[in-house]
Amino acid sequence: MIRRYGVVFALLALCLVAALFVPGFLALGNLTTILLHVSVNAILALGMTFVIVTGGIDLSVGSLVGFAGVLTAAALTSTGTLDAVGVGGATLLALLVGTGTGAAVGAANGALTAYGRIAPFVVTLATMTIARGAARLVTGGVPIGFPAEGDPAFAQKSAALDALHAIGGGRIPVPGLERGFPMPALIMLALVAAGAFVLTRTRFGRYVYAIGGNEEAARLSGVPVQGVKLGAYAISGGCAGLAAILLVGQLKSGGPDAGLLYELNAIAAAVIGGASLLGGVGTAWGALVGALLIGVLNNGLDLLGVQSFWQEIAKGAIILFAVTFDVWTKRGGGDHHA
Amino acid sequence: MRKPLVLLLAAAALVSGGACGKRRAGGRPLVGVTLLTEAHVFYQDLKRGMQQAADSLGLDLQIVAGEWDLARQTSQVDNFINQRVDAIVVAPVNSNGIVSAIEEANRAKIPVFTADIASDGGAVVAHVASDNRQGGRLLGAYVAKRLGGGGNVVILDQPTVNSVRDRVAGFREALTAFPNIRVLASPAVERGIRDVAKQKMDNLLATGQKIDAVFGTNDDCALGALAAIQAAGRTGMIVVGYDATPEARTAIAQGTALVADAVQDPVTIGRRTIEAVAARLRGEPVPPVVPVPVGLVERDSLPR
Repeated sequence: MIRRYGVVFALLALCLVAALFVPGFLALGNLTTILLHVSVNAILALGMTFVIVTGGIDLSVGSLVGFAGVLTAAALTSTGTLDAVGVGGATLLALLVGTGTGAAVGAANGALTAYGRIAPFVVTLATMTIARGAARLVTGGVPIGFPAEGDPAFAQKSAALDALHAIGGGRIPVPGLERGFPMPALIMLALVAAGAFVLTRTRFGRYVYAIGGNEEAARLSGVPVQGVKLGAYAISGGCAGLAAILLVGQLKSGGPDAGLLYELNAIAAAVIGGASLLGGVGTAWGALVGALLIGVLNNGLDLLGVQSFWQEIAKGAIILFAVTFDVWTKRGGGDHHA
Repeated sequence: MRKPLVLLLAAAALVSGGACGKRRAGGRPLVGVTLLTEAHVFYQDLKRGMQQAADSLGLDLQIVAGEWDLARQTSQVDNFINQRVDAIVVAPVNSNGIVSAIEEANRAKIPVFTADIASDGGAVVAHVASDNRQGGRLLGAYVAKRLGGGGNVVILDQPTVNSVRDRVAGFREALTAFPNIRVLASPAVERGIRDVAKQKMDNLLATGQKIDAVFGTNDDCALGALAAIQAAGRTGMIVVGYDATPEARTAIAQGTALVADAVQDPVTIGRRTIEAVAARLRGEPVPPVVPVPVGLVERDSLPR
């Protein structure tokens, strides 16, 4: 029990400590806000889990949040699109551009890794740099989004941003919850559930674990290794695209520097949630729990007004603790495909 | 993994029932402050000025920082709204992306103030900042005077930062009166940090072009440029910086290539911000923009 659910207990323990020492932590409004704040990282960690389970790594997701984000914001607020297809059409286009960009770059990562046989660390390190540079190139370094005063299309652009804000920052009215339940948190929960289904209930999911467990054995038993790997990276990229859409929606702005270093937070969440960088181990719900653990920690320390330097130290300590705990409980083998 | 998660949510729902709407003890107003970063001398001074004013005016501050991450800063504003603070002060990570967070605070009817960097939208009670355009003009005029009205100038720019855009605009504005001064290059220095600035400057020096003056848009840029110039053993160049941090003052006093700095007054910006907050909480009128003048520091104006 403790071996399988160690991280959940760690999360519960952290919540208990926060409840005791952080005023305002347990307010329902605060707890739902935590879900909002972790949504981007949890979605990235979900995609990352697919890749890590195959034994790979995806360093490009943070930059991809920036790149897909600026393209999403550009598609949403371009006067051309708004004139041609209106606010609804532009919103739809923005959604397609965001996910499409993410999935396409992800698929390219997968193709280079699987068919080009280049180490994923190197491939995604390269695409991380390219995507960040492209995001800055497209925008000239200036965020795209909230229109300047006096912009002739001010009303239209604001309406388009409001439309995407309903997805990325919207609140669903819930009785007893003053500010409502955040839309991105709902999307996050749905995606994690879908990810868990794919990983545990589909042939593709079983192949993902098989490749990470023993790639050669998987190949010999007829698993289409290259295709499955490409799929895993495309999923990771697609998740980055979705996260970018939520971020642009929430902030009403696509910044070229958005998502800086988010890949490390995503890897941290996946690893805290039990994914092994050696491959073959990791779960969708684990990624969510890992992201929640980081989110609760950030929230609690922010509510206490703790200096950001201490927060960084605390986050690193938690990662070390989680991984050490994991190694310690797993020593002696058994139960690897949790 | 699913069962424990349900248990966890159930437990959270159970305990949260009675915990809503806590009230602060003492009745002192609480002001939530989120800075761009704490890892910078400027913001440490700004923070000190805020704390000084808050102590003398009887306000409590809760100070956090977005550390260059807009999503993080937005989440900190969210936290302030949940905590029902009496006022929110933001030194935004960027002007465009902070709008939605400010609108969120507007909806919660919490007065918002910006310090140092303005917001592109949302309702802000007052913006307190240096007059950066004036500061840029001051440095531009100074450089033109030192170069005798002619020469090549490099700007170590940070085009994503609004306050820097104002500085550079003012700097270029002052130079337009001197047709023989040419801006040779204006590379962007990522996050305005010193080692990046040094690398940019190293590369410019390596091109062998004649460079007469460098404008570092903050002191890390200026000191990075200075390090590159010293490492290359180049003479006959001047550097001007912005902020007059202790390190920059030392470099100026020692007679290095760094000859002058625009000096902002972050402590005063911090003070004025909290004074504006206090005035508003007392129901007094507050001007929408509170400019804090920028000065010039050169060798003669420093104590030896």
